[in-house]
Amino acid sequence: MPPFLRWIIALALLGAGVFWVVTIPGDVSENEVAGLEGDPERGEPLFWAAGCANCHAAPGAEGEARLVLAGGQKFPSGFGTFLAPNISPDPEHGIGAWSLREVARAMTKGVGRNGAHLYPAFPYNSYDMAQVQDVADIYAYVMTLPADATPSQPHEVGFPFNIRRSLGGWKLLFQREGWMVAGDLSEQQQRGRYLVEALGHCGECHTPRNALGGWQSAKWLGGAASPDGKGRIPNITPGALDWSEADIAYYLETGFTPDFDSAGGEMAVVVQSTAKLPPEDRAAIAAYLKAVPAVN
Amino acid sequence: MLKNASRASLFAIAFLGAGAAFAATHAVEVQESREAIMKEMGKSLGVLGKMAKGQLDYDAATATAAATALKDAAEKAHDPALWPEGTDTMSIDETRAMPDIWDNMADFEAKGAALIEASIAMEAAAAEGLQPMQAAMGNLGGSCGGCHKVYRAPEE
Repeated sequence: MPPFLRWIIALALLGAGVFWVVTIPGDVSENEVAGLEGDPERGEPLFWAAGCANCHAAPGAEGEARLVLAGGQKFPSGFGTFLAPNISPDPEHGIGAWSLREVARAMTKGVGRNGAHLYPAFPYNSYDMAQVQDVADIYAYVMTLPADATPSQPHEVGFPFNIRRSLGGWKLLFQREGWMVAGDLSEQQQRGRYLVEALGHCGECHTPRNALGGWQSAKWLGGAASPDGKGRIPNITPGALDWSEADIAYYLETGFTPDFDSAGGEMAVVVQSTAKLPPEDRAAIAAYLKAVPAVN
Repeated sequence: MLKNASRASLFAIAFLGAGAAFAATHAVEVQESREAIMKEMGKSLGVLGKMAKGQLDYDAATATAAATALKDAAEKAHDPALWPEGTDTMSIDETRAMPDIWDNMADFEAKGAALIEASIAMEAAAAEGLQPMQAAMGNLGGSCGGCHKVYRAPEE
Protein backbone atom coordinates (compact mmCIF):
# COMPACT_ATOMS: atom_id res chain seq x y z
CA MET A 1 0.00 0.00 0.00
CA PRO A 2 1.46 3.35 -0.97
CA PRO A 3 2.26 5.53 2.04
CA PHE A 4 -0.10 8.33 0.98
CA LEU A 5 -3.01 5.86 0.86
CA ARG A 6 -2.17 4.78 4.38
CA TRP A 7 -2.28 8.39 5.44
CA ILE A 8 -5.66 8.92 3.81
CA ILE A 9 -7.11 5.87 5.50
CA ALA A 10 -5.65 6.94 8.85
CA LEU A 11 -7.10 10.43 8.46
CA ALA A 12 -10.49 9.06 7.44
CA LEU A 13 -10.55 6.80 10.49
CA LEU A 14 -9.52 9.69 12.67
CA GLY A 15 -12.26 11.82 11.16
CA ALA A 16 -14.86 9.12 11.71
CA GLY A 17 -13.64 8.73 15.28
CA VAL A 18 -13.90 12.46 15.95
CA PHE A 19 -17.39 12.53 14.36
CA TRP A 20 -18.42 9.61 16.54
CA VAL A 21 -17.16 11.26 19.72
CA VAL A 22 -18.52 14.76 19.10
CA THR A 23 -21.93 13.46 18.09
CA ILE A 24 -22.46 11.30 21.19
CA PRO A 25 -25.89 12.25 22.57
CA GLY A 26 -25.82 14.38 25.71
CA ASP A 27 -27.18 13.19 29.01
CA VAL A 28 -28.75 14.29 32.26
CA SER A 29 -27.04 12.59 35.20
CA GLU A 30 -28.87 10.54 37.81
CA ASN A 31 -27.65 13.11 40.36
CA GLU A 32 -29.49 15.95 38.64
CA VAL A 33 -32.85 14.27 39.07
CA ALA A 34 -32.15 12.40 42.33
CA GLY A 35 -34.75 13.13 44.97
CA LEU A 36 -36.82 15.40 42.72
CA GLU A 37 -40.54 15.07 43.29
CA GLY A 38 -42.83 16.49 40.62
CA ASP A 39 -45.78 18.58 41.79
CA PRO A 40 -48.63 18.40 39.25
CA GLU A 41 -50.34 21.48 40.64
CA ARG A 42 -47.23 23.56 40.22
CA GLY A 43 -46.73 21.89 36.85
CA GLU A 44 -50.02 23.05 35.34
CA PRO A 45 -49.13 26.71 34.64
CA LEU A 46 -45.63 25.59 33.62
CA PHE A 47 -47.22 23.19 31.13
CA TRP A 48 -49.08 26.10 29.55
CA ALA A 49 -45.97 28.26 29.62
CA ALA A 50 -44.08 25.51 27.78
CA GLY A 51 -46.85 25.27 25.20
CA CYS A 52 -46.81 21.45 25.11
CA ALA A 53 -50.41 21.17 23.91
CA ASN A 54 -49.80 23.60 21.03
CA CYS A 55 -47.95 20.91 19.11
CA HIS A 56 -48.80 17.64 20.85
CA ALA A 57 -52.61 17.88 20.93
CA ALA A 58 -54.28 16.04 18.05
CA PRO A 59 -54.75 18.06 14.83
CA GLY A 60 -57.66 20.49 15.20
CA ALA A 61 -58.22 19.75 18.91
CA GLU A 62 -60.11 22.47 20.77
CA GLY A 63 -60.95 23.12 24.41
CA GLU A 64 -60.64 20.12 26.72
CA ALA A 65 -59.45 17.97 23.82
CA ARG A 66 -56.19 19.95 23.89
CA LEU A 67 -55.34 18.04 27.07
CA VAL A 68 -55.15 14.77 25.14
CA LEU A 69 -51.54 14.83 23.95
CA ALA A 70 -52.05 12.19 21.26
CA GLY A 71 -49.73 13.84 18.71
CA GLY A 72 -50.18 13.74 14.93
CA GLN A 73 -49.87 17.42 14.01
CA LYS A 74 -47.63 17.96 11.00
CA PHE A 75 -44.88 20.57 10.82
CA PRO A 76 -43.57 21.01 7.28
CA SER A 77 -40.12 22.55 6.88
CA GLY A 78 -37.27 22.76 4.42
CA PHE A 79 -35.80 19.60 5.95
CA GLY A 80 -38.93 17.50 5.74
CA THR A 81 -42.21 17.17 7.62
CA PHE A 82 -42.09 16.49 11.33
CA LEU A 83 -44.98 14.76 13.08
CA ALA A 84 -45.51 15.49 16.75
CA PRO A 85 -45.41 12.25 18.73
CA ASN A 86 -47.83 11.01 21.37
CA ILE A 87 -46.69 12.33 24.79
CA SER A 88 -49.82 11.31 26.69
CA PRO A 89 -49.43 9.05 29.78
CA ASP A 90 -50.13 5.92 27.73
CA PRO A 91 -47.31 3.52 28.76
CA GLU A 92 -46.96 1.97 25.32
CA HIS A 93 -47.57 4.79 22.85
CA GLY A 94 -47.01 7.79 25.09
CA ILE A 95 -44.46 8.62 27.78
CA GLY A 96 -46.18 6.94 30.72
CA ALA A 97 -43.35 4.49 31.29
CA TRP A 98 -40.53 7.04 31.04
CA SER A 99 -38.34 7.88 34.02
CA LEU A 100 -37.92 11.51 35.03
CA ARG A 101 -34.31 11.29 33.92
CA GLU A 102 -35.40 10.20 30.43
CA VAL A 103 -37.95 13.02 30.25
CA ALA A 104 -35.37 15.57 31.38
CA ARG A 105 -32.86 14.22 28.88
CA ALA A 106 -35.39 14.51 26.04
CA MET A 107 -36.55 17.99 26.97
CA THR A 108 -33.21 19.60 27.77
CA LYS A 109 -30.72 17.57 25.71
CA GLY A 110 -32.87 16.49 22.79
CA VAL A 111 -32.24 12.77 23.23
CA GLY A 112 -34.97 10.17 22.89
CA ARG A 113 -35.63 7.25 25.18
CA ASN A 114 -33.74 4.95 22.82
CA GLY A 115 -30.69 7.20 23.11
CA ALA A 116 -30.95 8.70 19.61
CA HIS A 117 -30.87 12.42 18.90
CA LEU A 118 -34.24 14.14 18.49
CA TYR A 119 -34.90 16.66 15.74
CA PRO A 120 -34.78 20.28 16.84
CA ALA A 121 -38.39 20.71 15.69
CA PHE A 122 -38.77 19.72 19.34
CA PRO A 123 -37.58 22.91 21.08
CA TYR A 124 -34.92 21.38 23.36
CA ASN A 125 -32.55 24.16 22.48
CA SER A 126 -34.95 26.40 24.43
CA TYR A 127 -35.93 23.92 27.13
CA ASP A 128 -32.20 23.42 27.76
CA MET A 129 -32.44 26.47 30.04
CA ALA A 130 -35.41 25.08 31.98
CA GLN A 131 -34.93 24.18 35.63
CA VAL A 132 -35.02 20.43 36.24
CA GLN A 133 -37.59 20.96 39.01
CA ASP A 134 -39.89 22.63 36.47
CA VAL A 135 -39.40 19.70 34.09
CA ALA A 136 -40.35 17.35 36.91
CA ASP A 137 -43.47 19.39 37.69
CA ILE A 138 -44.54 19.54 34.03
CA TYR A 139 -44.06 15.80 33.72
CA ALA A 140 -46.08 15.22 36.91
CA TYR A 141 -48.89 17.34 35.45
CA VAL A 142 -48.79 15.59 32.05
CA MET A 143 -49.18 12.28 33.89
CA THR A 144 -52.53 13.48 35.28
CA LEU A 145 -53.90 14.00 31.74
CA PRO A 146 -55.87 11.39 29.75
CA ALA A 147 -53.88 8.53 28.23
CA ASP A 148 -54.33 7.96 24.51
CA ALA A 149 -53.22 4.91 22.55
CA THR A 150 -52.68 6.56 19.15
CA PRO A 151 -49.30 5.36 17.86
CA SER A 152 -46.75 8.08 17.03
CA GLN A 153 -46.16 8.56 13.31
CA PRO A 154 -42.67 8.56 11.80
CA HIS A 155 -41.24 11.86 10.55
CA GLU A 156 -41.20 12.37 6.79
CA VAL A 157 -37.57 13.35 6.47
CA GLY A 158 -35.31 12.38 3.56
CA PHE A 159 -31.58 11.80 3.23
CA PRO A 160 -29.28 13.14 4.69
CA PHE A 161 -31.43 14.59 7.44
CA ASN A 162 -32.75 11.14 8.33
CA ILE A 163 -29.34 10.20 9.76
CA ARG A 164 -29.97 10.87 13.43
CA ARG A 165 -26.31 10.82 14.31
CA SER A 166 -25.72 13.92 12.18
CA LEU A 167 -27.92 15.83 14.62
CA GLY A 168 -25.02 15.54 17.03
CA GLY A 169 -23.12 17.75 14.60
CA TRP A 170 -26.07 20.14 14.50
CA LYS A 171 -26.02 20.37 18.26
CA LEU A 172 -22.26 20.88 18.28
CA LEU A 173 -22.68 23.83 15.93
CA PHE A 174 -25.90 25.36 17.16
CA GLN A 175 -26.63 24.35 20.73
CA ARG A 176 -27.13 27.50 22.73
CA GLU A 177 -24.77 28.54 25.49
CA GLY A 178 -26.58 30.43 28.19
CA TRP A 179 -29.09 33.24 27.95
CA MET A 180 -29.56 35.11 24.68
CA VAL A 181 -30.17 38.38 26.51
CA ALA A 182 -27.60 38.90 29.24
CA GLY A 183 -26.82 41.93 31.33
CA ASP A 184 -28.75 43.80 33.99
CA LEU A 185 -32.35 42.68 34.07
CA SER A 186 -34.93 43.37 36.73
CA GLU A 187 -36.42 40.45 38.59
CA GLN A 188 -39.53 40.72 36.42
CA GLN A 189 -37.48 40.81 33.22
CA GLN A 190 -35.56 37.76 34.38
CA ARG A 191 -38.80 35.90 34.92
CA GLY A 192 -39.86 37.01 31.45
CA ARG A 193 -36.57 35.84 30.02
CA TYR A 194 -37.10 32.42 31.57
CA LEU A 195 -40.59 32.25 30.09
CA VAL A 196 -39.60 33.50 26.62
CA GLU A 197 -36.17 31.95 26.16
CA ALA A 198 -36.68 28.64 27.99
CA LEU A 199 -40.22 27.39 28.53
CA GLY A 200 -42.13 29.51 25.99
CA HIS A 201 -39.55 28.79 23.27
CA CYS A 202 -40.64 31.93 21.40
CA GLY A 203 -37.26 32.13 19.66
CA GLU A 204 -37.89 28.86 17.85
CA CYS A 205 -40.22 30.60 15.41
CA HIS A 206 -39.48 34.31 15.88
CA THR A 207 -35.70 34.06 15.34
CA PRO A 208 -34.39 33.61 11.79
CA ARG A 209 -32.35 30.50 11.08
CA ASN A 210 -29.36 29.87 8.84
CA ALA A 211 -29.28 27.36 5.98
CA LEU A 212 -28.69 24.48 8.40
CA GLY A 213 -31.45 25.48 10.76
CA GLY A 214 -29.34 27.13 13.49
CA TRP A 215 -30.45 30.37 15.11
CA GLN A 216 -29.01 33.61 13.78
CA SER A 217 -28.35 34.73 17.32
CA ALA A 218 -27.60 38.36 16.42
CA LYS A 219 -31.18 38.59 15.16
CA TRP A 220 -32.77 37.10 18.30
CA LEU A 221 -36.57 37.38 18.00
CA GLY A 222 -36.09 39.56 14.92
CA GLY A 223 -38.68 37.77 12.79
CA ALA A 224 -38.30 34.93 10.31
CA ALA A 225 -39.73 33.28 7.26
CA SER A 226 -42.37 30.75 8.22
CA PRO A 227 -40.85 27.25 8.04
CA ASP A 228 -43.79 26.03 5.96
CA GLY A 229 -42.97 28.71 3.40
CA LYS A 230 -46.21 30.65 3.88
CA GLY A 231 -45.83 34.20 5.13
CA ARG A 232 -43.54 35.65 7.77
CA ILE A 233 -43.33 35.37 11.52
CA PRO A 234 -43.04 38.90 12.91
CA ASN A 235 -40.14 40.70 14.53
CA ILE A 236 -41.07 41.06 18.21
CA THR A 237 -38.06 43.09 19.31
CA PRO A 238 -38.48 46.81 20.09
CA GLY A 239 -37.17 47.37 16.54
CA ALA A 240 -40.61 46.53 15.19
CA LEU A 241 -43.03 45.84 18.03
CA ASP A 242 -44.03 49.22 19.44
CA TRP A 243 -46.92 47.97 21.57
CA SER A 244 -46.96 48.92 25.24
CA GLU A 245 -46.23 46.25 27.82
CA ALA A 246 -49.91 46.26 28.74
CA ASP A 247 -50.84 45.71 25.08
CA ILE A 248 -48.44 42.78 24.75
CA ALA A 249 -49.77 41.18 27.94
CA TYR A 250 -53.34 41.72 26.75
CA TYR A 251 -52.58 40.13 23.39
CA LEU A 252 -51.19 37.05 25.16
CA GLU A 253 -54.35 36.90 27.27
CA THR A 254 -57.06 37.45 24.65
CA GLY A 255 -55.41 37.38 21.24
CA PHE A 256 -56.42 40.98 20.52
CA THR A 257 -53.88 43.36 19.02
CA PRO A 258 -54.02 47.05 20.06
CA ASP A 259 -56.15 47.62 16.91
CA PHE A 260 -58.45 44.76 17.94
CA ASP A 261 -57.52 42.57 15.09
CA SER A 262 -57.06 39.02 16.41
CA ALA A 263 -54.15 36.62 16.46
CA GLY A 264 -54.13 34.20 13.56
CA GLY A 265 -52.25 31.13 12.38
CA GLU A 266 -49.97 29.34 14.83
CA MET A 267 -50.03 32.34 17.15
CA ALA A 268 -53.76 31.89 17.77
CA VAL A 269 -52.86 28.41 19.04
CA VAL A 270 -50.08 29.82 21.21
CA VAL A 271 -52.47 32.36 22.75
CA GLN A 272 -54.78 29.51 23.81
CA SER A 273 -51.93 28.49 26.11
CA THR A 274 -50.62 31.92 27.20
CA ALA A 275 -54.24 32.80 28.12
CA LYS A 276 -53.91 30.21 30.89
CA LEU A 277 -50.79 31.75 32.46
CA PRO A 278 -50.95 33.77 35.67
CA PRO A 279 -51.27 37.49 34.74
CA GLU A 280 -47.91 38.32 36.30
CA ASP A 281 -46.22 35.87 33.91
CA ARG A 282 -47.73 37.61 30.86
CA ALA A 283 -46.58 40.94 32.28
CA ALA A 284 -43.10 39.48 32.77
CA ILE A 285 -42.96 38.32 29.14
CA ALA A 286 -43.91 41.83 28.02
CA ALA A 287 -41.26 43.40 30.28
CA TYR A 288 -38.59 41.09 28.87
CA LEU A 289 -39.58 41.81 25.25
CA LYS A 290 -38.93 45.50 25.93
CA ALA A 291 -35.42 44.63 27.13
CA VAL A 292 -34.45 42.59 24.04
CA PRO A 293 -31.94 44.34 21.72
CA ALA A 294 -33.83 45.94 18.81
CA VAL A 295 -33.51 44.21 15.44
CA ASN A 296 -34.32 46.49 12.56
CA MET B 1 -75.10 28.45 -42.35
CA LEU B 2 -71.43 28.93 -41.57
CA LYS B 3 -72.12 32.56 -40.98
CA ASN B 4 -74.79 31.69 -38.52
CA ALA B 5 -72.53 29.24 -36.70
CA SER B 6 -69.72 31.75 -36.37
CA ARG B 7 -72.18 34.38 -35.23
CA ALA B 8 -73.49 31.96 -32.63
CA SER B 9 -70.02 31.16 -31.39
CA LEU B 10 -69.09 34.84 -31.26
CA PHE B 11 -72.20 35.43 -29.27
CA ALA B 12 -71.37 32.52 -26.98
CA ILE B 13 -67.83 33.82 -26.44
CA ALA B 14 -69.13 37.28 -25.64
CA PHE B 15 -71.69 35.83 -23.31
CA LEU B 16 -69.15 33.66 -21.50
CA GLY B 17 -66.73 36.54 -21.30
CA ALA B 18 -69.36 38.76 -19.79
CA GLY B 19 -70.24 35.96 -17.37
CA ALA B 20 -66.62 35.62 -16.28
CA ALA B 21 -66.29 39.37 -15.89
CA PHE B 22 -69.49 39.42 -13.88
CA ALA B 23 -68.22 36.60 -11.63
CA ALA B 24 -64.93 38.41 -11.03
CA THR B 25 -66.64 41.69 -10.17
CA HIS B 26 -69.04 39.83 -7.95
CA ALA B 27 -66.16 38.08 -6.15
CA VAL B 28 -64.48 41.40 -5.41
CA GLU B 29 -67.77 42.89 -4.23
CA VAL B 30 -68.31 39.96 -1.90
CA GLN B 31 -64.80 40.30 -0.57
CA GLU B 32 -65.34 44.01 0.05
CA SER B 33 -68.54 43.33 1.98
CA ARG B 34 -66.74 40.79 4.13
CA GLU B 35 -63.96 43.23 4.85
CA ALA B 36 -66.44 45.97 5.75
CA ILE B 37 -68.12 43.62 8.23
CA MET B 38 -64.77 42.69 9.77
CA LYS B 39 -64.07 46.40 10.21
CA GLU B 40 -67.45 46.89 11.90
CA MET B 41 -66.50 44.10 14.28
CA GLY B 42 -63.15 45.74 14.93
CA LYS B 43 -64.86 49.00 15.79
CA SER B 44 -67.17 47.40 18.35
CA LEU B 45 -64.33 45.31 19.74
CA GLY B 46 -62.30 48.51 20.09
CA VAL B 47 -64.93 50.00 22.39
CA LEU B 48 -65.22 46.84 24.47
CA GLY B 49 -61.50 46.17 24.54
CA LYS B 50 -60.51 49.69 25.53
CA MET B 51 -62.95 49.54 28.42
CA ALA B 52 -61.63 46.13 29.40
CA LYS B 53 -58.06 47.45 29.34
CA GLY B 54 -58.98 50.57 31.31
CA GLN B 55 -58.24 52.96 28.42
CA LEU B 56 -61.87 54.03 28.32
CA ASP B 57 -64.28 54.45 31.24
CA TYR B 58 -66.72 51.60 31.55
CA ASP B 59 -70.29 52.49 30.80
CA ALA B 60 -72.92 49.75 30.69
CA ALA B 61 -75.06 51.32 27.96
CA THR B 62 -72.12 52.00 25.60
CA ALA B 63 -70.63 48.57 26.25
CA THR B 64 -73.90 46.77 25.63
CA ALA B 65 -74.52 48.73 22.44
CA ALA B 66 -71.05 47.76 21.20
CA ALA B 67 -71.71 44.11 22.03
CA THR B 68 -75.02 44.23 20.17
CA ALA B 69 -73.37 45.80 17.13
CA LEU B 70 -70.76 43.06 17.28
CA LYS B 71 -73.44 40.38 17.38
CA ASP B 72 -75.23 41.98 14.40
CA ALA B 73 -72.00 42.04 12.42
CA ALA B 74 -71.25 38.43 13.35
CA GLU B 75 -74.71 37.43 12.10
CA LYS B 76 -74.17 39.30 8.85
CA ALA B 77 -70.85 37.52 8.36
CA HIS B 78 -72.59 34.19 8.88
CA ASP B 79 -74.60 34.62 5.65
CA PRO B 80 -73.57 31.91 3.12
CA ALA B 81 -74.10 34.45 0.31
CA LEU B 82 -70.91 36.15 1.51
CA TRP B 83 -68.89 32.98 1.05
CA PRO B 84 -69.51 31.75 -2.52
CA GLU B 85 -67.01 29.51 -4.27
CA GLY B 86 -64.32 31.38 -6.14
CA THR B 87 -63.68 34.00 -3.47
CA ASP B 88 -60.59 32.48 -1.88
CA THR B 89 -56.92 33.44 -2.04
CA MET B 90 -56.49 31.33 -5.18
CA SER B 91 -59.21 33.26 -7.02
CA ILE B 92 -58.80 36.89 -5.95
CA ASP B 93 -55.82 38.88 -4.74
CA GLU B 94 -57.55 41.04 -2.19
CA THR B 95 -58.67 38.32 0.19
CA ARG B 96 -56.97 36.33 2.93
CA ALA B 97 -59.77 33.73 3.00
CA MET B 98 -58.04 30.39 2.52
CA PRO B 99 -59.39 27.70 0.16
CA ASP B 100 -59.63 25.36 3.19
CA ILE B 101 -62.88 27.16 4.09
CA TRP B 102 -64.66 25.57 1.15
CA ASP B 103 -63.24 22.13 1.95
CA ASN B 104 -64.53 22.38 5.52
CA MET B 105 -67.68 24.46 5.17
CA ALA B 106 -69.50 22.78 8.09
CA ASP B 107 -66.60 23.51 10.44
CA PHE B 108 -66.30 27.05 9.12
CA GLU B 109 -69.98 27.65 9.81
CA ALA B 110 -69.67 26.14 13.29
CA LYS B 111 -66.83 28.56 14.02
CA GLY B 112 -68.95 31.44 12.77
CA ALA B 113 -71.77 30.31 15.07
CA ALA B 114 -69.29 30.24 17.97
CA LEU B 115 -68.56 33.93 17.33
CA ILE B 116 -72.27 34.76 17.44
CA GLU B 117 -72.58 32.84 20.71
CA ALA B 118 -69.58 34.61 22.20
CA SER B 119 -71.07 37.99 21.17
CA ILE B 120 -74.37 37.12 22.84
CA ALA B 121 -72.49 36.15 26.00
CA MET B 122 -70.65 39.48 25.74
CA GLU B 123 -73.94 41.37 25.48
CA ALA B 124 -75.01 39.94 28.84
CA ALA B 125 -71.59 40.43 30.44
CA ALA B 126 -71.27 44.01 29.19
CA ALA B 127 -74.58 44.93 30.82
CA GLU B 128 -73.58 43.24 34.06
CA GLY B 129 -70.41 45.13 34.87
CA LEU B 130 -66.78 45.80 34.09
CA GLN B 131 -65.36 42.63 35.59
CA PRO B 132 -67.69 40.19 33.83
CA MET B 133 -67.03 42.11 30.63
CA GLN B 134 -63.27 41.81 31.07
CA ALA B 135 -63.65 38.10 31.71
CA ALA B 136 -65.75 37.63 28.56
CA MET B 137 -63.08 39.19 26.32
CA GLY B 138 -60.94 36.07 26.39
CA ASN B 139 -63.68 33.83 25.07
CA LEU B 140 -64.50 36.39 22.41
CA GLY B 141 -60.86 36.62 21.34
CA GLY B 142 -60.74 32.84 21.21
CA SER B 143 -63.70 32.71 18.86
CA CYS B 144 -62.05 35.25 16.52
CA GLY B 145 -58.88 33.19 16.67
CA GLY B 146 -60.86 30.02 16.00
CA CYS B 147 -61.30 31.06 12.38
CA HIS B 148 -58.17 33.15 11.95
CA LYS B 149 -56.05 30.25 13.16
CA VAL B 150 -56.96 27.93 10.31
CA TYR B 151 -58.81 29.90 7.64
CA ARG B 152 -57.01 33.25 7.35
CA ALA B 153 -53.82 33.38 5.30
CA PRO B 154 -50.84 35.15 6.90
CA GLU B 155 -50.08 38.68 5.82
CA GLU B 156 -47.60 38.86 2.97
